[in-house]
Amino acid sequence: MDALIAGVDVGGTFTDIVLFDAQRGELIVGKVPSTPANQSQGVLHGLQSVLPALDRLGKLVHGTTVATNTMLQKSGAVVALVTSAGFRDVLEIGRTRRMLPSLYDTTFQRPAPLVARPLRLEVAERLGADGIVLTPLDETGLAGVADAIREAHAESIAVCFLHSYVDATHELRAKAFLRRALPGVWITTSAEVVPEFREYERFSTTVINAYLLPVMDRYMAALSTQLAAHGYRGNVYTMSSGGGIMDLDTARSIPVRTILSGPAGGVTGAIWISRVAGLADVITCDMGGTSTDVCLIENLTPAFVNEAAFAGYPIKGREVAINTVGAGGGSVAYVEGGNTLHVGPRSAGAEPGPACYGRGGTEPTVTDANVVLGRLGTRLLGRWIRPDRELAIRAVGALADKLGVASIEAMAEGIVRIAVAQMANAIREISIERGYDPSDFVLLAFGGAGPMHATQIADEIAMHEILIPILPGNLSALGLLASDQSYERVRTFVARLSTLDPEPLAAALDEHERLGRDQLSQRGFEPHAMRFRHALDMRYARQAFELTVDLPGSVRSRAELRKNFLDAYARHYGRADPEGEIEIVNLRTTSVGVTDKPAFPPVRGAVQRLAHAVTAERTLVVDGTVLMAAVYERERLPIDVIFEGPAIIEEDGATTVVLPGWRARRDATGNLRLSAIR
Amino acid sequence: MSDLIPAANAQAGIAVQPAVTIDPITVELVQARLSSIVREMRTIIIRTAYSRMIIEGHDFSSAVLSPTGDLVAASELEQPTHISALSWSARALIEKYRGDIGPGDLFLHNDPYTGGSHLNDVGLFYPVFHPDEPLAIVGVMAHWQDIGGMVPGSLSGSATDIYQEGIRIPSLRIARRGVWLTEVLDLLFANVREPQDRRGDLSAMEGACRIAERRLHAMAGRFGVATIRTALTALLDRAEQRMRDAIRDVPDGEYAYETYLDNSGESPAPLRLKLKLTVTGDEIHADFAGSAPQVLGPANLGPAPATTATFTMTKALLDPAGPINAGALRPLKVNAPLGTVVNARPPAACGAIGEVRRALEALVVGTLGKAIPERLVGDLKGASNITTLSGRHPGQTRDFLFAEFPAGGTGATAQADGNNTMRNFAEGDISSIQPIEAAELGCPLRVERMLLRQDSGGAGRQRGGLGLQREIRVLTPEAQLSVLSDKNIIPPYGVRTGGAGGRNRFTVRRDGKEIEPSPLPGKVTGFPLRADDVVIERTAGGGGYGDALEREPEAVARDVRFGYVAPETARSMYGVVLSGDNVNAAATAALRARLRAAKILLRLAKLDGDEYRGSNRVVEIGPSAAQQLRLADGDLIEFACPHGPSLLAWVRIDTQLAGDSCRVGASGLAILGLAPGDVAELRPIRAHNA
Repeated sequence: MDALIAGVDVGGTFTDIVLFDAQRGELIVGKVPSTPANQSQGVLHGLQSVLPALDRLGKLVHGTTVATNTMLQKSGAVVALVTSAGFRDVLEIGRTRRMLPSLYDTTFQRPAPLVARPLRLEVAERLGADGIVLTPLDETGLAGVADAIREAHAESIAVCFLHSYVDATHELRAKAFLRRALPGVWITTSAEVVPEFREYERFSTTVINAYLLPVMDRYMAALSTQLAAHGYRGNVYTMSSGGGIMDLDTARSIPVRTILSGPAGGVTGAIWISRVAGLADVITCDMGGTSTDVCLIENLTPAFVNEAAFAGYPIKGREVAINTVGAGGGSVAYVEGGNTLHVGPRSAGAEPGPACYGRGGTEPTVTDANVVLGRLGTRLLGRWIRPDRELAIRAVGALADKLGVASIEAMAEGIVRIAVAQMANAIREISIERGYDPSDFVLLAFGGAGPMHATQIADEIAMHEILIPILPGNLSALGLLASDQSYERVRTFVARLSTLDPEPLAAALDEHERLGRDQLSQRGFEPHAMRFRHALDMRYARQAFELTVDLPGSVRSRAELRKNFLDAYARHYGRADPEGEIEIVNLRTTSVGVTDKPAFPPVRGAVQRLAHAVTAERTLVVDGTVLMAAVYERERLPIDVIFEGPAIIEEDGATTVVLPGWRARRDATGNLRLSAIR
Repeated sequence: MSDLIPAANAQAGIAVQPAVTIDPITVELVQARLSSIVREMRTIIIRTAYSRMIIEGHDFSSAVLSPTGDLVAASELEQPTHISALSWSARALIEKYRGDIGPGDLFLHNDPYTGGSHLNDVGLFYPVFHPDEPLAIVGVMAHWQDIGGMVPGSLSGSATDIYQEGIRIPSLRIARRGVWLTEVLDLLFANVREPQDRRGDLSAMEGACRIAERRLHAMAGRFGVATIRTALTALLDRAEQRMRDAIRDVPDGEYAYETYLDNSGESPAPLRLKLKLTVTGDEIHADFAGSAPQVLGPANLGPAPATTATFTMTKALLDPAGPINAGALRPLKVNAPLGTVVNARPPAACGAIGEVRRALEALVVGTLGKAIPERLVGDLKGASNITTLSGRHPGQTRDFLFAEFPAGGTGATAQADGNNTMRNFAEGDISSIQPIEAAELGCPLRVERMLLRQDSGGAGRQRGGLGLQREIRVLTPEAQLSVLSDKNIIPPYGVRTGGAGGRNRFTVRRDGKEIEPSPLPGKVTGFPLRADDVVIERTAGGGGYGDALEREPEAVARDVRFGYVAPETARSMYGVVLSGDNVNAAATAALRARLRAAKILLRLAKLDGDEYRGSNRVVEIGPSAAQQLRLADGDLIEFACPHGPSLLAWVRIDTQLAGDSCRVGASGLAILGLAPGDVAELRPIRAHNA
């Protein structure tokens, strides 16, 4: 393993750095302001803040918001779409959906397609669903298309033909032609990005990729150059939406896979922590300033989805199933429509921030409510802000008056409760609604505000165990260090199970595996460090929704496939019809290159007696009752000494609240373990 | 019957305890929990039902109702059509089974005449008790693919009474105290097609209700039954208050408007829908008197949809963010006269709710919008556009079924152009067209083109959205086409002098020639297709907002560059002259001045005698105006209206009438907001092939 590896997580406001020194077994943490105009600067500054000379750095993994920001700000490349004659409007018409909450909204405007109509260019060619060429590719027509693209100064091209998932020849020929005609222009074909049927979703994904390509390519080039100039000679890895890391070239060619880079880092961090703690089934709750991400992890594997929408645009591809709700520490509590209390999604953001920051904010936020209730003290938040209790009381009090709530404390408890209810609902959606009982899982709470609300969320949905990881504010960066490389492969393979010939299926999966093996060995992985996970998208013949069914080991026979599908179906939906006709739709393979994980840092600073870890006592309001709670310094907590709530555990960047009814201890690895007393 | 919304505390079969006091935070928490329960019900149904209309079309709704049958919690994903049907149906069962409703009972209902929508929409109701006290009623209404009747899928444009549309289920107990009444179900399923699949649909709905029950019990354990009941009341009261506040901002007065359905499907005569809204303080009274008498075809409704349309559109215009519950309905009083298409007597057929309810919605928007013109919206495609291609795979015994219901353009608003081909604000957000690659994988069909229809968006200062055109080649000799649509003759209206949107149109191209698959456009039943026929779907564009001659010339130039508007239309409708891609400002100003001067304005006079000929509003014009406008007796025209939607009328030529004047009945003048002596712009609406 490399002597020094760094994880850099670029967030909206701050860039987090975690450096692991394998020789000393040490984790070093840094935080610098992000530089949105050119993220690479922030990355470099951050690295330099923990490691002046980069020549000693062996490996760099980063979580980037370049793709996310480009999509949100609509600042991607000018893209031309080259598509089958007759179908240039597929991208605009889509599936005729609004894709964003808008029922009853007469003024709703659907986000404009990423390629305007004049740049959606058609070329004569057509395949049938069986791959037979109905119309050969018209290269003469392509010449005209190339001229139009040149004239419009498009920087990037998406080539999207119907049924290219069956046979990509036309797309590849068009790409080769355009590459010759238009040197220097980025070109993406739909079968390279996501060779799956359903044209709109595939075209959309491909166009987003084309839209991001030049931006990501320039960013990665700038980052590599700057890192090299400072002596770094290793590869730069990027976290993908799928929860694995990709090498530089892959991230540069399929940037659409990095849209969930940041949140996926949090999930990988959670998996690493869980493994160390000996847990297999956890639900993550990453609560930040404006939103909360939750994800269900079963047997150390996160839930995945194969299609999602981002800002109203569909994206196909396997990604970690993260459910986001617009409630975080900075969420504003306000009255709307005369009598309805809302908490979020409006957020006070970094500026002005919660009222208690004293930067001009007057509306009460979840953070202000926590200050009023005594959960959050007046210790520095981050390095810059000391909460002002008076300002918090004023803001919450004003809202209490407006709503006629009897006391400021009751109002504050109400604000927190509503925020917690939203998070609990988000967890219900990914667990109960998917057939899982949350009480079988451990709640892994992190992010700046997660530890503060963990016991309350757990109470709300009857979870009994909580883990607050080390460095809860930096878990995403930490996750980057512990990630394996992974590469996805998918192809459409439609077959009825009753008439399936297992031979071609096995051959197709073997082919996936062979390609994956090549890909991994090119990246320096030995066979023993390679893992291949196969899965099939399957459905009942009359349904339009597929279920992704894992395919362990050598399962290939019809009877086994049927059983696996029925089991998965029953688990998800409560029951399955054993008589129903079953169809296979897609084959998926994830090729994983297993990397060495950093050793967990040794626990430092523990004192012998619990009392010595107490820094203060503070009044805490719980269910309208005022309680006295000890305030502990997390770093000083003795190992495996159990104490009961009410208690508060403070550290840099996070505060853990242990409500009555819970007991807590710091375990041998430094994680906090909370258990319900029931 | 001339029915008003029943009060919240209407007599009910389940007794309700008096309320305890409650704080706004608990109300919010109960609301959040109920929303979560409804969402969970949705997830279960989508994943486990069998009908494509449910799993792909999402044509179903789930809800939590109060023990008295008032809708308390729905999500923003529910079908607006079902909103009040759920409440009406629940109240119908309470009425019928009063005193004999207990834990473990299940009830079915689909009868339009006691509050359902059409027979395919089957409601399942499950009263929840905790432990023996009534807590709530959980309800699901879902569109079953088939409910029996004379055609597969049950909906037919040629149905002439409800018995042809399937099996009618009055409020019907199907389980008593946890025991299924299997004989009842055997009777039901013996009368529908694919009974195994329908059993699957029922089982999905039941599964969702059972889960909701479990969640409600958990809630009751946590909050207590009394608190939940009080919270339910508070949620309704709160929604009512919001709606009343919003109505108070609307100027008091009487507002009237009328719209038309193309026809009944059975006869070619247009059907008039008429509405008078009276706004008084914080209440609105909607009176549909003057709407067409019920018809022999399926374009009839039971009592619930008029209320739903009034509620849905009032909410959309006044308080789109407000909660969806029965409280928000309370300030609305609705009169739907019995014996008309909006409240028919049995046994009229009721299958075409998708068409009639959309026409009703357009009517409510147009009428209420007269009070608040800045919030008006151009009209929409106004039909379900259900298009079915079915038949047999060539050379095989295997059948195929291809169904979709393509969306159209949405209406323009004061702020923005309409959206191109998109499910509109009153429709659930679902896919309305099949993926091309999926269709070609599963059916002997090939989609040859799909594009936005140039010039289909109604012209205006803000332009209506464009509809689509989709061409599907049939690759089998054994196939047939059915279509249920409207606005194939009557176009979507423009508002505040904005132009009408392009109309829906469904044709077949055979041997290079486009042919009409039915005598009445848009009402196609089982048209036999041949191999290599191409079915062409064209969907309507949205209505325009404001004067097209005031549209930003740069926006017109962009529309031409994008191909949304033809260069010729840019000149003739928008008065914009382009030099290459750029606006020629001087020439544009000159052309616009010329077009303004050339508008045909007629002086209005009051028409004495009958305002209507049958359903059709009459406008009398003189021979010279008729010649100038190229109009013949019986042609359709619209009056552009500066403060409201355009008004439709049919021409009667009066040889005695002077060239610059026309006669319209008193209620027409009132709709236009004009008096005799005022002038109005009159525009012909040409038939498709003109």
